[in-house]
Amino acid sequence: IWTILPAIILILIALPSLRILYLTDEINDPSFTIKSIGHQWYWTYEYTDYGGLIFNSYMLPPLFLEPGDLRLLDVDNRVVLPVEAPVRMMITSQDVLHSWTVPSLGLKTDAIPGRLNQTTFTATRPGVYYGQCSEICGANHSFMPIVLELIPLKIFEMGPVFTL
Amino acid sequence: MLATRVFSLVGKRAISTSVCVRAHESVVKSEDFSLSAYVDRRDHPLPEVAHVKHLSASQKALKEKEKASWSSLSMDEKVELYRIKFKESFAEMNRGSNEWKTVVGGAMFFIGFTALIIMWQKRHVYGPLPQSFDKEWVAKQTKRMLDMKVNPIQGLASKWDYEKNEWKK
Repeated sequence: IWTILPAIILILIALPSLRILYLTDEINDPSFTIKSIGHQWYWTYEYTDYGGLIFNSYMLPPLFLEPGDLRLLDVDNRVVLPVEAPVRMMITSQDVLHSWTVPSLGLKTDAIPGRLNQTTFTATRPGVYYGQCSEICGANHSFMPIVLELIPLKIFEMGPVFTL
Repeated sequence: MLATRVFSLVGKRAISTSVCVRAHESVVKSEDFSLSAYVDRRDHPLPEVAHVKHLSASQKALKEKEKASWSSLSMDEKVELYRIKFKESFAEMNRGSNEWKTVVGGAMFFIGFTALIIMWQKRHVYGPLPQSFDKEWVAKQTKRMLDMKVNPIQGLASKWDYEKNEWKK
C-alpha cells in the first residue's frame, strides 16, 4: 500500500503537469519563422517567409574588432528581428550538435543534425542580445556566438540593409 | 625437510618464526602479524601480551609478592608492576607532538614554491592579454553596454543612473 498509493498520487500530479508542459509550447501563434542552421563553426540564418534571405553569421576575429566591441561575442551579421512580434525559430544543424542560446531571452535549443527543433519567443525590449553556442562541437565551439538585434517594426519592415 | 636439515647444520639458531619447521610442515605457516603482539593504543587498552616478556629475578620476586594482598605493595612496587605490564601510560601514549609544525611548514613551503612557478609562467610562458582587456577598451565596452541598456531590470544597466550619468550609489 505504501508503494501503490504514492505511485497513484505521483501519476495524478504528473499527468496535468505534462499537459501543461506541452500546452505552453502551443500558445504562441508566431508572426514569422526564421531558420537557424548550425555549422562548424558558424550559424546560417534563413528568412524565407517573404522572399529569400540567407546569410552566415561568423564571429568577428579579434583583429577585426573596433574598440568597444565585445570580444568573442560580436558577429559580422546579426539576426535582426522586430520587437513585440512572436517569432518562431526552427533550429537544426548541418554537421554536429550545436545549441542555439540567447540567455537574456531565456532561449536554449539544441541544434541536432537531421532534426528540426522549434522555439518561439516574443521580445519586448529593443536592443542587442548575445548568446554562445552551448553544445560542444569541436575546436571553435567557443567561437560561434549568436547575436540578436531587435529593432522597431517600422524599421524592420523597410527591408534588409547590407553594410560591408 | 632437506632445507631445514641444512639450516640446522649451518647455524644453531632455528628459524624460530616458522612454526611449520618445528611442526614438521604439517601446520600452516603463521606470519609475524598473526602472533600476539604488544600495542599501546587508546582503543585497545589491554594488549594480548605483557610488555616485559622475560622477567629479571627482582621482577619475578615482585610478581610472587603480587599474589598476596595488594595493600602490602608500596607505591613504587605498584608502578613497577604497571611498567612490567605496560610500556606507556595513557598520558604518555596520548601526548601531543610537534608534528603539526612540520606539516604546516612543509605545506606553506610548497604553496610558496607554486607561487614562484606561477610567477615564472606569467613572465616567460603566457602571451599578452587580448586588446579587449585594455582600460580604454573596457571603458568603451561598458559605455556601449549601458547605451544598449543591457539587463536593465537587475543587471548592469540597472546599476547606472541615466539621469545623473553616473553609477547608482
